[in-house]
Amino acid sequence: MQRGRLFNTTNNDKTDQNNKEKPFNTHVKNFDAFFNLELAPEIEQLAKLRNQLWSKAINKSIWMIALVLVVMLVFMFFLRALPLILFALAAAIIACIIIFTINYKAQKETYNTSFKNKIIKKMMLGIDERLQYQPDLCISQNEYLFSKIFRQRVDKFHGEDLIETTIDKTNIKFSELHTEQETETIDSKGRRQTKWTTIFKGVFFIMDFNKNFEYETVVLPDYNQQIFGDLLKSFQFGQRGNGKLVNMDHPEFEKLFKVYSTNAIEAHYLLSPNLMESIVQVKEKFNSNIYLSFSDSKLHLAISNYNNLFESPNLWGNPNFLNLIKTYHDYLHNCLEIVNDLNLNLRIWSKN
Amino acid sequence: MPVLLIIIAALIAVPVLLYNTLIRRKNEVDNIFGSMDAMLKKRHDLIPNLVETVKEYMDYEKETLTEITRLRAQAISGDLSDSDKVAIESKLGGQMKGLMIAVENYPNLKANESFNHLQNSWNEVEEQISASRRAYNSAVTSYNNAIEMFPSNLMANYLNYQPKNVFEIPEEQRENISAKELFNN
Repeated sequence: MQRGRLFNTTNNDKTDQNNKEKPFNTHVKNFDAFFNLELAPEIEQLAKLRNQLWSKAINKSIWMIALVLVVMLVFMFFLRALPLILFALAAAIIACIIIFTINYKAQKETYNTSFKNKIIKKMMLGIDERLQYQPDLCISQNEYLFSKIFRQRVDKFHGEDLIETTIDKTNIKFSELHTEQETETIDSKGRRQTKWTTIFKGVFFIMDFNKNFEYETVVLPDYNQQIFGDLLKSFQFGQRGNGKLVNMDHPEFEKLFKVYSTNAIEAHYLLSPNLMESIVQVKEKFNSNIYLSFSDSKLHLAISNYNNLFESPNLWGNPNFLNLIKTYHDYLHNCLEIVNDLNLNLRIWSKN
Repeated sequence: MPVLLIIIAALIAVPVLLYNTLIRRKNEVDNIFGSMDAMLKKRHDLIPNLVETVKEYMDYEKETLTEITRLRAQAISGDLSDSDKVAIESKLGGQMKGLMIAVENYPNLKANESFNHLQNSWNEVEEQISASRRAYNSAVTSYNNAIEMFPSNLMANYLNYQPKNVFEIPEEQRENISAKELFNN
């Protein structure tokens, strides 16, 4: 770990000498050098495992596929009609694909776990030793529901890659989340169809907020405003739970978001002009939908992202690890920078 | 026949909707204006403690402290018109801001823990007052738009609703960075 520190602390040595808490690093200063020195040897080690697992997936599948084919050949020998033979052949092909997929997925999972524990963890420690990474954990369902950002019933809750740390005075934790709802539709012939609809897929953050508050305020993307502009604004009276629609005094923010709050003055207190400006910038930086809520003295932030973060590449081919890990590193850097972007360490109010 | 019914229903529903919209907008403005008094009361409650704490340390700001005490007494006297109230609160805010800048010249005061606590409370109250002004202005803007835009202006004329004035918010409050710059230790 000592070698990793070379890449992120240059001006902080004096602070270390004075035995003070060093500033939090949100990225590795020279990523290419860090990759070559710290991660490349680990990736080389992991390449052996990757080859082994790929061979294992192939070998396991070959035996099972061979067995399926033998059974099918015997079966076809007793069949006389061509349609039945074609049906048996199609069934055999499908069975082979399923067998291979199951075997491949099992081996890929093993590789993925090693990739996260060895490469991703090391990359995170290279950024800052105080980052805690737990690949199998996530923000809990209760925490997700407590934010009140998404009010839909959740039928499937899945998450991974929990990251937690304290940046200066602000505690921050975030993880990937995917929440889904089961919906049932009945077509014109009366047939029932079950469909899974995604409620949220992306990164969900919980952070300390630097002001005290007692009411609930939620900030959501405003699709109507983006389409109709100010045309209907004076006649809009939205209600969401106990919260009422609040018009904010930042034109760009108001164009992109709608705010529901149980207290209009507190909504203005929390969403200062600077914070609204920063939220607009965070949205531009991530270039996706963002949702916020203020409850239980925490700031909840959800950023949509349909890519699966920190995943290993496939077992075959020749992936570009440098680019892949750099992409993860840069996304993580943006996530950690949110504390500074939203100026959450500014503590000039009663809350410390 | 159904078309006729729809037209009749629309003729009844539209004025009702417009009327309700205007009433809600007006109530929103009145509610927020009412809440501002609570914020100002917090400010008035905080001033005696602040003055008491700083006067032990500040040798050259006696006049400012006397003026602040006088303005506070005026502000809480109760028999003031809305415009007088706004003028006194504005003066009081200005004097307090000057006092907080003067604090920079008194390192001992800046190091005082109870003063720091009061200063943080002061920042909070001032930002809440600023937030209530902004909320009031947003509500007034929506109200003014509603009474000036067609077709709700017809209903507003009938109800004799007049446009309301917004608060003038000083640039530093809009920027919301003054506190950070002033009190960054």
